[in-house]
Amino acid sequence: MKIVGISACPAGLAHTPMAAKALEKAGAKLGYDVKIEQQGSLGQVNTITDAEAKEADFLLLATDQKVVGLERFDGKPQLRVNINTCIKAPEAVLKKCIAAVQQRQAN
Amino acid sequence: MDFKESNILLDVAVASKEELFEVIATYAYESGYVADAAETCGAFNERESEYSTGLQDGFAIPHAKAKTVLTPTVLFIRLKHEIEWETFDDSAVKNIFALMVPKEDEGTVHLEMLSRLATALLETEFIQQIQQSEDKKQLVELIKKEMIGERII
Repeated sequence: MKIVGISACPAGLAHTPMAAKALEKAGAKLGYDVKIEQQGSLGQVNTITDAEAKEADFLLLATDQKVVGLERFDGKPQLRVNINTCIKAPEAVLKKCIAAVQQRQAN
Repeated sequence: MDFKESNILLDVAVASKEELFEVIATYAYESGYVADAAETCGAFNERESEYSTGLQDGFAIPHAKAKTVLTPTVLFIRLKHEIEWETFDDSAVKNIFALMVPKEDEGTVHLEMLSRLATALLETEFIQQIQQSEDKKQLVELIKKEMIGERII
């Protein structure tokens, strides 16, 4: 399972990198390939390439903010999750997202 | 951005988040980090109203991004008594990292330091070391190490 995501928060200072790191750590633990692009005060960090976007199974949006560059993910399932939930319970977030994507595919 | 013993406040007695932000803003003003205490206080409250900056294990990371901030600044505050704060684990808050940055980012180095500090708060080891340390000198070392990151040379 290849997962790409974007994290963003109001000030772009603390929660953006925290959510990204929490999700990537959870992915490593659960055995999924997870890459999260940060769209915070530093601009785009850990940018997801077009190739990575193409290969991904779905896009996880860890934010309630507007993000840029969504055209990279055209045609991919997109799931939006509250950024605090991603920091608080990253493993549960990944599992739920995967289950939701698999459910969509099954239908 | 330097982090020194004067960036640490221990045994701070406040009854609420709002009161804490007043203490932080006043201290930041007196230290020359911000141009106006009231505006700084307002920026903390405004960010907090978007959603809580409470984390877990009694930690919170409130931040103010405002024109009135003159230089990127981190303050570490330990409270005498825990205060109520909306956190992930419903814990009351005792340890606070307050971040202040100017509205217009002045270079990425400082922001990278803040980003590293924020992600360090996901590490159990760092959290425990901070909780257990009573010594300002040791706290400075712990916090600086995370902010600066791995030195190559």
